Amino acid sequence: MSVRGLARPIVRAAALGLLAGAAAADPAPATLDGLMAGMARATGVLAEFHETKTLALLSAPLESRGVLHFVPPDRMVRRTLEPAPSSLVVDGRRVVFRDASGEAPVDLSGDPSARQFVDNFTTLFRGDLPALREKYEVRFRAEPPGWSLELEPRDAVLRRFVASLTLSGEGERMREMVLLERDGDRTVTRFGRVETDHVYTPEELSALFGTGEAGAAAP
Amino acid sequence: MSRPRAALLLALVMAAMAGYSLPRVDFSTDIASFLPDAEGDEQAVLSRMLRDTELSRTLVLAVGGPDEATAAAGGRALAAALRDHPALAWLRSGPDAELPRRVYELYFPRRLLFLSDQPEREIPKLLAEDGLREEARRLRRDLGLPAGTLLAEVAPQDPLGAFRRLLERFRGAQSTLRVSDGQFVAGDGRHAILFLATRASGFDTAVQAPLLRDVRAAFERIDAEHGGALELGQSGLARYVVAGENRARGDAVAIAGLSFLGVGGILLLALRSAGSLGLTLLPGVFGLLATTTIGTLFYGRLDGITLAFGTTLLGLTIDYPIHLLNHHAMSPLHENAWAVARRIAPSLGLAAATTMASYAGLAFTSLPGFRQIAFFSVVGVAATFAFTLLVIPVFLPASRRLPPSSQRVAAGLAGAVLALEPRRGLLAAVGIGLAAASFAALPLLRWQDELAALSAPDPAVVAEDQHVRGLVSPFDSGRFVVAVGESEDAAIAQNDRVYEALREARERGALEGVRSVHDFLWSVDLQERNWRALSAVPDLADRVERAFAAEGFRPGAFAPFREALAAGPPAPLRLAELRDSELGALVGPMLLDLGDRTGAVTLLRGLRDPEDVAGALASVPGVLLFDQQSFVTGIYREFRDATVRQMVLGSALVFGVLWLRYRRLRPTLASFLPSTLVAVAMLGALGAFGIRGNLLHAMSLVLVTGQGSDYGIFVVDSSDRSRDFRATMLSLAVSCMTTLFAYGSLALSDEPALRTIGLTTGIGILCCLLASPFSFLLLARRSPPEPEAA
Repeated sequence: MSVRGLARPIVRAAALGLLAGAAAADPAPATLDGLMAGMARATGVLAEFHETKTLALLSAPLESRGVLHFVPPDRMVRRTLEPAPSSLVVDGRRVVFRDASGEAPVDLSGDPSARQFVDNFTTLFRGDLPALREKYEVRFRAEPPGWSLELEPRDAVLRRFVASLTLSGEGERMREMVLLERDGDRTVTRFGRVETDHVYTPEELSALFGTGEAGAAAP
Repeated sequence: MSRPRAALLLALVMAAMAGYSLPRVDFSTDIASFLPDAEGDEQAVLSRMLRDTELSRTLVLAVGGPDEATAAAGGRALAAALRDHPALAWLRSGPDAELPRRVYELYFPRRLLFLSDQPEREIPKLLAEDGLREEARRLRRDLGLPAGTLLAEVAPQDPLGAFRRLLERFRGAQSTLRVSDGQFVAGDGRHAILFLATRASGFDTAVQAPLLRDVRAAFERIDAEHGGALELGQSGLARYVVAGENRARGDAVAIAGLSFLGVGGILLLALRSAGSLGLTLLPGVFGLLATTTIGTLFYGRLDGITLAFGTTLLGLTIDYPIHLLNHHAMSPLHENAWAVARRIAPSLGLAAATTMASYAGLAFTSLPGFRQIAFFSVVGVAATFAFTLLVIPVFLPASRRLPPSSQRVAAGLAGAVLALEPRRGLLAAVGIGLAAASFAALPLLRWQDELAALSAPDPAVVAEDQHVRGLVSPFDSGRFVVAVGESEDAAIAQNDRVYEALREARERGALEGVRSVHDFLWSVDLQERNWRALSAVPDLADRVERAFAAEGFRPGAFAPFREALAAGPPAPLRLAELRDSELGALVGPMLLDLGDRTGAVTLLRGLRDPEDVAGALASVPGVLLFDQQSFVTGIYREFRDATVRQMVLGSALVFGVLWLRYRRLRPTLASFLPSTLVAVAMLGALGAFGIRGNLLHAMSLVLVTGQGSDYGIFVVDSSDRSRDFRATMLSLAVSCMTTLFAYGSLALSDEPALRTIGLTTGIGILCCLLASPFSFLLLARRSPPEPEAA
């Protein structure tokens, strides 16, 4: 249950890590090695996202918009602005979620799924292809001017829920990520206005991560 | 029987007793033995809290570092080093990775039984059109959130959010610790936290001391690997117990050395013979072995405190061989040892009887440990007495003489007493004045029953303990509520009522929060009331479909919920099932097995208005609100009351025994009054000087009166024979000096408890010796003792 529940944000955010690297790569990656090398060169990412969730439960898809911040080597904030503000903050080994309900932030650091998320994320950021291959079956296709990277989880529990995660882009840009679940639920995230060379100021970092508690970023 | 044969036989008997009893002696201490009999709820609960629960066996370790990563690394390394320690029942250093699965498997099928703990009020609101629409909007919103996708799988079966509520309660009940790379970390981000529970009791220093040493050694090795950047904090009952024992042991080595040298030196000085010294010590050793053997046969095990205190009481019986040896050496008719033994047997017998009567008073207290001490002491005194008269003469030569110095001391002491006789009136006035002043000062006596006055723990240990506790839990471990039920289900039902009462108190601001079994389990009744509240809406599934469809959910999406309703109520979750499940560890530390009853503990946080909380709980029968500090103080007050009562009762028994022996008032009073007056005078002095009395003063005075009454008896019984009188005065002086060294040396201890015993016993025994002439003067013997027979 929890694995599946967290699987979507995990792989989504992990893929956003890929976004950072992909967008930073120049020229456009023609190989998987090139894509991973580009990720490793990312200096800081700021991107907008638009997510569409098509769930079996709902008559119509759920849509959300927000901003992604990535600070090398291991810090990230995913801020959802619409329809309901929330934030997911990763600060090193800590993972904290908070929404606008006014309830206390939820520390997910002890959750094994969150642990997996952090591991996946750092693996991707490091451009550690062997580790990525250990966790996923990796299929990279270069179809000029576009490319796609399909990840299929190797972990048996994750495989029960997640069918695949597909990242795609054109040239230097990653445009889309598609998460396909076994039950047919589908999440499509499109990225725009990507800055891959953003340098975060101390003030921005303080606003995003605070000085003490992770999750300082307001939803 | 020849001496060699007797010695061999004696050695065999003593070896047999030692061989039987010593392996069966448990040198550990069961504190529950020193709590009143567990007839009342409070005593039973506290007894279990102290002895049986995981709480008393748990250690908390805090590994501090300059930053979170270093501290967490240190914590992980320490956990790895200790995880397989044989003394540990378990070690937890991080979250249980399987917890979500376990919670899901046990609770999800029963989610609808845990919808609300106020079902009659909340469920109708939830199932109204507005309530369902609100729940649908919330679910839709949550599905759009990253963390909210947790609900995607369970929502079709649980549109009402019952499982979400359950998880929220679980989460609220978790500790404030965070997790860093699988390691618990305190909120300050600088301390990794480990929880350890030992298999043995926290009082079992034989296990706890080596474990603490191993913890320290492992930490120091890990700290060295981190360049000395780490620090270790520890919290737990065992820390206090082991630190206290170490301190007492440090004292004991020095004090025992001084005591041994002092007692041995005095006896050697008085007897000038190693053989006589051995004979003086032998009865006590025999008495100790005999009472340990009989005690082991009778009780199965003897408590460490019983052994320690009982042995102390037995130490006073060193008087018996001293008297025998001195009277033998100073026998006017140069009698052999058997004749002397027969002659002084009535006096020794009376002394032993009064001592036994004095200690027997302990048997009338409600404290099992005290009763065991009484048994141990009475049997030991009887064995020592019998050994002195029946065995020691075998090893004494036909005649022996005391060294001249001892004879001079004997003559001097006897002469000094006789010299007082012309001043009988003045002395009587002094005695009466002292008694009057003592009685007058008695009302000024105030008792101090706080534990801190009896035993002051090392401030460094206290500070470290509080620091670590502060890192781990905001709950006040000294205050808690216990719901007691005749069965497990009844206890959980009581606990529901406690939770409800505390919720109202929390809403009034009387306290900040609670940690309760209620976070994990409700009573069967409350679970069934949830189902009944749901069943009260016959078209519930249709209503849910309509309300959720109106908020954008696909029609038919909640068919699994409809099926769950149609299947009827699941079996309620009971305590036994929860405890036996993989989640049992969540509630285990909060449950008390009280024999045929069960207790559920609720911890309190931020108690601002104890009276309000007590008032709220007063309406719930069978519920106890503990303030551990005041409760422990109450227990010690009971100890002290019991001891004072036993002093009075013991004194009455002693007086009765003396009356039976003498059948006349004057010798009875002569032997009884001096030591009694010393006890009263010492209590009066405490009152007059504003010193608050405590349990240990009272217990020490039991020793003093027991020894002092013996002094009176020997003086009275030997007052008509000058040679005997000299031997008696010498014996009293030697006995007093040995007691002073044996017990008075405790006054040098750093431990307040030992110091109190040492000062009270030392001053008291000395006063008894100084008061012994009163016994002679009270006899109103106007002529000097008879001249020594040829």
